[in-house]
Amino acid sequence: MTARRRGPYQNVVLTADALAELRQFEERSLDVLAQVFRLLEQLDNGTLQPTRLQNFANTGDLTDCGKIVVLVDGEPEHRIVVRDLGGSFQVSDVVAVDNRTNDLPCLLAGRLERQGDPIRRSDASRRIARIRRALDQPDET
Amino acid sequence: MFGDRRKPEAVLLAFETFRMLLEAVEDVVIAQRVRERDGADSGERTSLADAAAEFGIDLDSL
Repeated sequence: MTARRRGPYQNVVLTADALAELRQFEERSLDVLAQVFRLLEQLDNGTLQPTRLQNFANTGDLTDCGKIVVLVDGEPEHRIVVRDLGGSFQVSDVVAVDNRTNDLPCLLAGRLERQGDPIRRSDASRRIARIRRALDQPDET
Repeated sequence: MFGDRRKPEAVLLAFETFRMLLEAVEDVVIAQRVRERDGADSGERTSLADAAAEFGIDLDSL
């Protein structure tokens, strides 16, 4: 991901959901809110690069998305999720990732299972459509 | 790997492997949220400057 600087504070935009999450931070911790904006300012001026999401078959290709770790008292507690728009960034999410070690069984048992099927179906549909286009056959779906 | 009667019940991992597994799981969970957000996106966007102004944060002083 490379940030092409356009001008001060013109390279980062926030979705409505991300903004709503920041309003919750404002109620809970002004320090965390300030830390998030500090990181977004660094993202805006190109001194901070997000870590790209890994590409997994069951989630589809989201390698245009990245995450930024938000440290609270030296510990990673939140992730800012951004999408690279080709020189600028869109903040789509500010995820609380609290006590990840304890969350792992829950994540594996619940969220992964819950999120699997629709995305897999979606990926399968896209693959079928690609094959149909390649074979120059009409799409029946 | 531990278990009884060929049924695996527990796994002993190197911490580095466990850490990598956490990272992978985290990315999958984040990806799920990205998909959910994409599906419900209103299209409304707020610039960083406007967002900072809403919260009374002076970006130049950070």
